[in-house]
Amino acid sequence: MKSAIHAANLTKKYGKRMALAGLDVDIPEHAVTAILGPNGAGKSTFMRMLTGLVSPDQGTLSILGQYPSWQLNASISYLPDRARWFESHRVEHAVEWGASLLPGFDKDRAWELVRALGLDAEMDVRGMSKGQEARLMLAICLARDVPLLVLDEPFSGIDMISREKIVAALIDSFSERRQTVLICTHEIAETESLFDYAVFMKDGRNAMSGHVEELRASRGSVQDIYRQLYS
Amino acid sequence: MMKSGTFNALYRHEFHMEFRRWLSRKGVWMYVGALVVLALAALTIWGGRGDFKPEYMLYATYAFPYLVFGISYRLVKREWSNGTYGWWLTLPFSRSKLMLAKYAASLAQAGLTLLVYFAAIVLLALYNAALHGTTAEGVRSFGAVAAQYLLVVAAIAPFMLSLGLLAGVLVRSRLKGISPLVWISFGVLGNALNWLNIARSADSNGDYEMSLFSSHSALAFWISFPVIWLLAALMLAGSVQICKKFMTL
Repeated sequence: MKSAIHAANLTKKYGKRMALAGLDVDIPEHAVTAILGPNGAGKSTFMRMLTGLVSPDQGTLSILGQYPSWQLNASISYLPDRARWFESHRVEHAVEWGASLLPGFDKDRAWELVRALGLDAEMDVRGMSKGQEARLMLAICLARDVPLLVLDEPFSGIDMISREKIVAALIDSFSERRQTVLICTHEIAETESLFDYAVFMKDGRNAMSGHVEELRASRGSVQDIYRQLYS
Repeated sequence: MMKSGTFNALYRHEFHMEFRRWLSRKGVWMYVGALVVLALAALTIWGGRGDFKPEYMLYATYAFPYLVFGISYRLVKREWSNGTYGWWLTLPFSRSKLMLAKYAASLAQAGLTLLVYFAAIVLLALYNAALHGTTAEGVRSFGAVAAQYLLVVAAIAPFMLSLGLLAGVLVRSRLKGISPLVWISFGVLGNALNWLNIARSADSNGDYEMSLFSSHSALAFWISFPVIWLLAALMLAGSVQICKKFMTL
């Protein structure tokens, strides 16, 4: 297995709280990987480290063979945790923003995704529901033709219809492109079919990881493993 | 491959975000319109009296350094209050470029605000002159005073803009303990026009007038401008360093 991301002994402390406590993990290239775990397991800290938002206190992290940096972010499409979109934008402004600032942004594909996700150019972000805003942010991320896609909680606080639309868009996108994809989510039941690989995090460490097919054969579904590990 | 003109795109994004916000606030424009009508009415009724001077309208300028600080402070603050800092800080551009784009956008917004304000004041003074037959000397004298106010505010603006950006990033950093110093600077230095009262000198009639161009203290002001701008550049560099190394996210 060739790794797109390699982390060794990653440690991060916020005050007295240990967010990552020696995380060792290898994320395979060209696979859809789920980063799973309860709140406080260190998932978002790890995702933020990939884009250089947060620096590790100790350990090494290699992404696509490089250290995290703003330059490397040209190769990473990142959906931040609890993100909102720019409130004075309309959908057309968001697409223009992506086209002018994000390397690898495919404008035609962005419009296809916007339409597929039930949005239109004139919609005002200020008047959008949380689900519509999440779909817009996902469209902006998926429109980028870059080697690594990092989605931190893309379904957080979103209604069922929006979740279904987003999952459908993800399935279409992953089948068309050879990207390495990381998704951090709590919505395992609806997204399990997307994953090739899974990493279960607990207390800032890698509690278990492996190919989903192998895990299923040996321990049951991803949901079952989640229950075994965290209940 | 990175596209060319990305700084321009960043700048336009920062500038338009605020511009669209103001355009969408119909209430603000109604308020501005009401103020203009009131000013016109006041000039029509009292403009011809000897004790009324259009220079009084320039007193609002005292608030401008604070306003300018608020413009740049808001550009940083809104990334957190609107939940967009994750998009902003993961753009594939250096922190210097990200901060410079905010600085340039806030400078443009401040410059535009100043120009619009002073243009409005000059138009009102001309209206007053046309209506009440003020002498050409009166208009010239008003123009000279207005130009000095504009110059002082324009000179201090780069400093206040840097201070605003610094205040915005400090509060989100491990160095937020020194934020009170920034706010003290804001209170003390934002009052620049009051400090400049020392530059006023009484003429032979006992009236005071600003004299940046002629008084014996004028030289000190001209020398202070590059010092102020140097401090502004240092604060901007400090904000970039804080953004690079000390942010708490």
